[in-house]
Amino acid sequence: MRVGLLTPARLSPGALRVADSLLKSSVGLTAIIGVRWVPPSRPSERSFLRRLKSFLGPLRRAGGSVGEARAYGVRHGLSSAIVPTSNHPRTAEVLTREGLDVVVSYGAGILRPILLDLPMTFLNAHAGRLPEYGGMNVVEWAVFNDDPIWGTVHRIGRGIDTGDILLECPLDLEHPRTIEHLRSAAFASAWDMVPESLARLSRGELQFRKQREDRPRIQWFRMHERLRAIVEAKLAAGAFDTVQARSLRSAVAPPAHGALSTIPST
Amino acid sequence: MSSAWQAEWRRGAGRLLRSGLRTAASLHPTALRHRLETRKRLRGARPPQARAEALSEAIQWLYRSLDAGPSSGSRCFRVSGGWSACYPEVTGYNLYTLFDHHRATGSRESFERALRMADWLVTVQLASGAYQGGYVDQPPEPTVFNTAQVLQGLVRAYRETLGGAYLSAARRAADWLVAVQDSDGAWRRFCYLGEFRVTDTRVAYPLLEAWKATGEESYRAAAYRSLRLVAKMQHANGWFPQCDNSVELVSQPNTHTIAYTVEGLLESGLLLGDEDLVSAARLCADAMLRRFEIDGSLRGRYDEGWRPTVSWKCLTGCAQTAKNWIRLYEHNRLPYYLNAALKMNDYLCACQDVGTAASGRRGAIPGSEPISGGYQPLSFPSWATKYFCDSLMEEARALASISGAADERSAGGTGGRAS
Repeated sequence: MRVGLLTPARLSPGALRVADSLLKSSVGLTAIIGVRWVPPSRPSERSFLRRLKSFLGPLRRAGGSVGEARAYGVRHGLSSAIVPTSNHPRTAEVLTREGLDVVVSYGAGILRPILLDLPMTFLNAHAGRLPEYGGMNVVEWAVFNDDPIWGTVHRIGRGIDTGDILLECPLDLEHPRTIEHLRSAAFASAWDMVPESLARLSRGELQFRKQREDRPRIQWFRMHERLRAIVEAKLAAGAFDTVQARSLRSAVAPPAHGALSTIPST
Repeated sequence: MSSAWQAEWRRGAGRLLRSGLRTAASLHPTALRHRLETRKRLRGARPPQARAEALSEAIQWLYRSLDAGPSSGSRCFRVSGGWSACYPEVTGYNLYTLFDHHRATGSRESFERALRMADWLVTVQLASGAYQGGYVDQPPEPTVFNTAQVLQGLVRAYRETLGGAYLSAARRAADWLVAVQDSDGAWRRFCYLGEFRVTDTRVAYPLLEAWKATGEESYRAAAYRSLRLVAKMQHANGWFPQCDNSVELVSQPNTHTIAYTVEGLLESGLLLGDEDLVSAARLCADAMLRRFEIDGSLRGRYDEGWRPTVSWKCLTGCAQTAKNWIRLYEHNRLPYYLNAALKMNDYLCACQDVGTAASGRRGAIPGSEPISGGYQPLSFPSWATKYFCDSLMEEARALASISGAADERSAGGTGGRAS
């Protein structure tokens, strides 16, 4: 199985962690493709000036940082390339040339049909159970709703978090006391599911399956500060720990929807 | 062919004229100052006022709108023209807001002013039982929609005081509404445009309140006929045809009239315990929520594909929509409704004019943002401020219910889902 990583060219700690874990896994990593500019997703950042600023920012810092993805590839003997944007024809060309079977997209923004129509699987890890927890701030929303936080590895489809699911399970998050801690633990834990799910996919132990239609599909949006304060208070009081622990205990039993055993956070 | 060309030419000229007027309005010193202030607050350069202060300023403006003349009716303020004459329709539902304010804060002044408004409404009822459309300085044409809004205020005044005069006036108004309804549930006579509009769900809702107060079955039946008719007209994506208060822009209704329709369906559904009506309201409210969250704002008009057709925002529609979302949250406890409403109220607080000492503007919500936009340009319609107050009071209640639930849990309650 030839696996590629599509990620912003200036590698974040999270992207480095995913790349490292893929390299160490049995499926390995074949190519790393760095995206020079990912358009902002927040409406407040969509004005022309802000878009221009976000575009020029990485160029100004080009003294090596934009080339981090390429440098990483060279360092580890991977095929590497820098492309202008995720949905650029050059990106499609590079991915096709590399003959990848699976492309893991980490922080590369919303992928459009120019990529999704290529004969390969685009994969994402999401720190929320699907279809109930699609969209933004799902970790916070789960705590707000007194629901456990799940990790989901899924195919990237045309809608937001609508693709077929490869693997899902509740996450072991230890005992987060702040939103910041919770988010970093949840995202790290969800992305740690990717190498294992790919390994099991390559061995034929896992298959993609459609998202369940008997549960509500909800797209969540950015949480307002007033509600975030409620989430912070719940975390500080330790109320979330009980919910998550109960979910982890039930996940030890045979999973209902093909979920595996819990992936611990590291 | 020639007449079609002439009609097209007239429409084009009308569009050009409206656009020219908006450009001219945007250069008015008040418009420029308001825009600058609003932008500063939206960008975080100046903090918007806290919710309690925003509500207090808005209520004070509603008081001043009542004091601007000898009668106790609600008035609007126009930048070039000052206070308008009294507006019976708006007085009807503004008094509802003042009663709510009294309930929420214990304000005796709000209660007494609401009663004076109801007293004034009893004096301006037409012989038929109807109420006139428009302002009292306009010809007294009996109008269905306006009568229904007054009816709602009269019923509320009766419920608060058990005063027979209010009930009697309410009965006469409701009887007239039933009498002029067509057999299919539509109101086509005594309408603003002489045409049926789905906003008449906001006629059905007051009729249901009258039914609740009197037990008169014909009110419920008339309301239900109208609601079913509207629900059947709804598109699969939640959008409503025949929804705008104009003929030429009916294919791209204003959020003000869309929100009226949703409010009528929702409140009626809740009163009747009819989940089909609530679902119809929710379908439209969800589409608006999605647009608001993805685009970062709710524009003034949307076409049948929920594509925005103008760049300005109708602040009345924004406030009404925020209120509808909170009411949906209270009904089904899905927190994304409350979340969107909180963001919308932030935006409205940023648009509230508190940087001036001018009595006609301070604390009020303008018709549009920018204030020169296409809905009530350079004006502060009192219904915008009324719905802003409603939304803030609903928000406070919803947040208090969450705090209450959390307190219960921490006191040893059983815990449970917020959604």
